[in-house]
Amino acid sequence: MVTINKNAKEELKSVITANRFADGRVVWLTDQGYWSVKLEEAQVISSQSDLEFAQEQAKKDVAAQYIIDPYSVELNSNNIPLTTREQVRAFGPSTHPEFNPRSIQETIPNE
Amino acid sequence: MNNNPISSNPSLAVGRYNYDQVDHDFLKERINQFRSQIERRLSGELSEDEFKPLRLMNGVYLQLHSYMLRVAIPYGILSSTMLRGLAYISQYYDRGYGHFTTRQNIQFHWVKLEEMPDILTHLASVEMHALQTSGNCIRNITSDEFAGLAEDEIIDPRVYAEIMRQWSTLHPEFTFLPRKFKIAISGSSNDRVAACFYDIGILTRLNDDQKPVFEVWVGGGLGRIPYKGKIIRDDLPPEHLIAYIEAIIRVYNLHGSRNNLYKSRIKILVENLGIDAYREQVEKEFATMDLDQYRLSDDLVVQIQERFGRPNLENHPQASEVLEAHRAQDKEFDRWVKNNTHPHFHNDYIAAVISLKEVGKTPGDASTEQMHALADLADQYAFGEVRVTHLQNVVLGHVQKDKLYELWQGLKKQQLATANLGLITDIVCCPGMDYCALANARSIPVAKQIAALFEDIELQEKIGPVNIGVDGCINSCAHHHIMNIGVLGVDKKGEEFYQIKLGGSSYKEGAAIGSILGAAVKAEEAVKAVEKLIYFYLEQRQSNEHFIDTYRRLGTAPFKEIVYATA
Repeated sequence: MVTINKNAKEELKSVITANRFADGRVVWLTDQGYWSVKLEEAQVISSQSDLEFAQEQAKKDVAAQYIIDPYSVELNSNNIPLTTREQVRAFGPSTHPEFNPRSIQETIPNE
Repeated sequence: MNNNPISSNPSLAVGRYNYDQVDHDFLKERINQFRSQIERRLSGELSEDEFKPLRLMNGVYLQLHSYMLRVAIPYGILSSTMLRGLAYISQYYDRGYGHFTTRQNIQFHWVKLEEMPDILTHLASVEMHALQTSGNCIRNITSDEFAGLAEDEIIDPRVYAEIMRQWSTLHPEFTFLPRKFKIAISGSSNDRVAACFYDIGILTRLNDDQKPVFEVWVGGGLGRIPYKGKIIRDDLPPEHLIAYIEAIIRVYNLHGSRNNLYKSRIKILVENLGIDAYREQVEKEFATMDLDQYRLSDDLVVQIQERFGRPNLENHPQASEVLEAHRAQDKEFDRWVKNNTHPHFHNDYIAAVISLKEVGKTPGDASTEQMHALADLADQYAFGEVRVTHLQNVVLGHVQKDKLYELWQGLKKQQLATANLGLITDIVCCPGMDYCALANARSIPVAKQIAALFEDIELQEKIGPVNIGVDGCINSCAHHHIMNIGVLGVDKKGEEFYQIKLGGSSYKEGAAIGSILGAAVKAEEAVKAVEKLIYFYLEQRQSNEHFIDTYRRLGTAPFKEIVYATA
């Protein structure tokens, strides 16, 4: 099920993420309705109504067996996830920068 | 010295149980069953909620970035063929490496769900599986990495570990225990398996009649509430091993909590009941059992032993002399021999411990190329046998002393000759939040930063033996509770912080759970704190004290002051 952040304010930006069913890869919901492995292609959501709409789509994609465990992730002003956990999900294991889906390492504090 | 009459049949792989047709058929059947379950999941017939317990029973997790497969390495023993099988999986189904864990398993972090049955089929072809590497069942049974070669060994624990593996695999009574259940066994009274921190830990001693008996520990564990186990019986005849541990687990299965995840391990039950009351219940249960049915007769034990290959250890009278000459001519080799070998009961052989802790690399990881190289070196120098340790290193157990120099040269070519065993850079580390869905913080970068501070091998030797465990969460896969210095990652509003523990010790003699030093700090401060602790110890130590000795002499307070003192 989609996790709704009840405390989310209208101006807070977020994206919808999940793991892809077939291979477990981290994916992000785009504004075209498909799921991308790249965070920068994600639809940045800034209103509750858009969030609810995106969550509805995520539910359908769970039912269609395309993704599992979708939830929303809050972003900072640079459109980077607020938590380190979500940064690691977005940019790959910091110990293997070559696995970063978008090949930028500077967005996550590295070793 | 171990005098077990293990088979010397040259067609059998050395050091491990070789499957017969029944074993092969069993695995094939199980893989087909899981293949069918995956197909039903892929077709939508099974929901994720329905499928999850099925995949977990087959070692398949969903981690942060991908599915992960955990493969059991029973009692830590691999043949070169098995290791090549793992290398193949790492190359063709994963991303060119695998991660050896403290439970003598290997994890592949980048596998696809639909490829899982093919991976399991490949594993089965080299007599391996992922059964019961997850779920609330009896997990992979761990053992002493020096089994079958240690001078102090009384019985070969691998034979009994194999018997327990066969007994526990799909045991109808114990498939849905209150929580996971971990067993470790050593054939020596010297604890090399951290026996008192297992659900059941088994050590071996000789009784007054000079007969081997098991000393059985119960109720140990790490995790959220760490406990040192207690001895439930110290004179268990090996023939009653299965009956007795079945009685222990029956009592747990009946009374263990199923309502509260954090109180469901046997350690909580033993603590709540008290060891005497727990023992009483076990003895009562044991008394009702048909012991003839459970008895491990000599015939049965020999039957299992005969499925193990034994190394053909020949006498090489010049071997020690040649080794000494090599040590004298090459100081780097001499250092590696001093730090990374263990005596063998046969004087012409030695056990080589290969560190997977090269500074700058992820502790416990081995690349595809390294796995192939280790398999080749095992064939060439160690009867094709490889052991995986619970401290995330690898052992080649039976190396002819006069060939050790050649082996070391081969290891060097693969960056596998790091001479840091038991030293400060031999850090135990879980995958942490770089991979693990349960983790609160990353552990690998912290471990690497600590190791980098002490890269100088002369400094490491000056510091002397000290163990460090870095965990990304309280589940304690890296054993931070029982390390001299434990580092635990915690989450504070989405940020990584690290708590430091001091004074832990893993083994029976002096086994202890560490004490929290103070408030959690950010990663860079945690690394600096470890540095301060070590230099403070160097200033304070007396004569030949190790870190743990100085800590025990001084107590926590001065160490705390050195870390948290404000300028």
